[in-house]
Amino acid sequence: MKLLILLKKELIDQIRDRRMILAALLMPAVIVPLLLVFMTLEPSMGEARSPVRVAIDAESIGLQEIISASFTDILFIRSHTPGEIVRDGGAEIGIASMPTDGERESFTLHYDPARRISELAYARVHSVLQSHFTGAEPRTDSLSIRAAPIRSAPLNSSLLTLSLLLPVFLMVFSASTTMSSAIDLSSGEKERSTIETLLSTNISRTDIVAGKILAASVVGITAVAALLTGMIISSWAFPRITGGVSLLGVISLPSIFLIGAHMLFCVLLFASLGLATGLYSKSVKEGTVLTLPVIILASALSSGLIGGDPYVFDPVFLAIPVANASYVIRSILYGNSDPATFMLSILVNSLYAAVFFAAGTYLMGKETVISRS
Amino acid sequence: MLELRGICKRFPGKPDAVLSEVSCTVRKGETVALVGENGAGKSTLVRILSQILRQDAGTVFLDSVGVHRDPGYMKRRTATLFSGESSLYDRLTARENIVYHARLNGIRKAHYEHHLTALIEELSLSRYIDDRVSTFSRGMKQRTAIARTLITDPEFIILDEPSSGLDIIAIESVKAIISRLRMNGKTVLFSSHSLDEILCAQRVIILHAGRIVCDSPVERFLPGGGEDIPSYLRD
Repeated sequence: MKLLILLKKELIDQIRDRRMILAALLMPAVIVPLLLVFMTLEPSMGEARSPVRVAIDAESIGLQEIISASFTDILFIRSHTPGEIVRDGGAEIGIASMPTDGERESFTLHYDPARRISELAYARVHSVLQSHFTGAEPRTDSLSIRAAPIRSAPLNSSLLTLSLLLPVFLMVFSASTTMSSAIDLSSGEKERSTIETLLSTNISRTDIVAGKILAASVVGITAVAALLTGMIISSWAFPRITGGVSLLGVISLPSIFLIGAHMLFCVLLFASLGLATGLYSKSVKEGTVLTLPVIILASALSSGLIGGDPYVFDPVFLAIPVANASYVIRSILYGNSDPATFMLSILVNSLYAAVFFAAGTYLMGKETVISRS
Repeated sequence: MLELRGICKRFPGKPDAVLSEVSCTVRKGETVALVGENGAGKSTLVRILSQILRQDAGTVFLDSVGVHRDPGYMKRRTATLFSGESSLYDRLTARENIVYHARLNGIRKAHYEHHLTALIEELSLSRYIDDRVSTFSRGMKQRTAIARTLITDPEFIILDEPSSGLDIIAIESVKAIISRLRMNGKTVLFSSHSLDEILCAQRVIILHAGRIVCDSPVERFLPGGGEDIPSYLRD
């Protein structure tokens, strides 16, 4: 009986907390469906905005017309080494004719199994060639198609695993750790009643905000470093967890540092956003609830459903924080890091961080916000 | 000298003003007790003097320098102890709390170290100075908070209910500190609900519903002095 009395009081207490209602009802009911709608706007293979690029050698030129009929948007690139083009990300598929003894056609199809668009292109070209050269009655001796994936199966598996997991882990852990720290440094300070003494000291509010953002960023980048170190060690000890090849087997240590350096700007963004949210919030609990959608959004934007291909990326998405950084991380994994994209991503994330920093400074000066607790 | 001229403050959503035309002067070296029932506006006035809140009207002058013209002038010369929980950082030690406050106020190590040693001795903090504040009793926290307030050696000290929630021994300790500050020529403004404590002051200002209703020497609150002792003051 007393259990029910307690349960009733706790439920009343929770239900009267508007933020709890927001977290428990509104967010799952609204935000998740909205995210799914947004993600399905990404064009599928058949409606790709970018043309499918096919590297083709001189001997295979005659295939252009045959293959063109199966793609809505295709671009042929002439090359003596179609496989190299595919390996460098310059084409989705490479077609090389092999010398034959006359009646038999023989082709090598170079493709990247770690890229969905390349795999689909391979499947389609393979099907087109098969049906063209063998006709209604398949004659297995008239056609030879050799599949030539540009990397080994274990490396491919590891690349797929890492390109899916690494950006998500980095974004989710950095967002949650950094913003949690920022919330503690802002609304936690209000809850603990230390903010008034702090504001009465001879330090500007801008410096207070900047100091707290930097402190939260240190916590966040430490989490990033710990995550990367953990992945290096565990994948070295148990390569199976990353698909068969360790993280250092896929990319070099300098590249890992590059990923970490890039994450710094995401961490700054999360710290600024977290601090502004924390200053607005009445309590740590409220601040934590308000930052929950950010973490959900970060996981969605980093999942690869937007900008998952490291070679084909709509430049518009560079304006979306987290999505831009996730794309850069995937590009580094695939060995396709472009300095311009790297710098643009840093610039965009820094701009967002600056906006939230300004918001935090503004909120720190508002007495109605500071006294909200 | 601290001078308040026509200070007014109203909070959004509240029908009545918290402070209405509050004007008074606190001379250099004077100890003034600010008295009033709960909700009279004492804490709001303290926060305006500490520049955490901004008044809607009126001006504050310190040594004839308008705070609105040079906020830093008053901040460099003032230190405030706020009411309620001692507002210390629980995860830091007492020493770290005090030193942090000194450094934020631009006090160099060479200047605060000697003063810190004296404060530790004076406030009986030597046994706990390097312990985390989370382990402290309320009295210890309050003494640490007072040490933090005084570490910058301010000219003007504001204490908002310094003995709130303390036991008798701790209250006596606070009274002794106020008396010492007065003897050292510091300008002190403190709020209190204790009749015994306000007798440490030289002057008493009574706030009621945001207005000053009395501003008299403390002698007038002694038996036979002529002033009625407000009912909300504890013996």
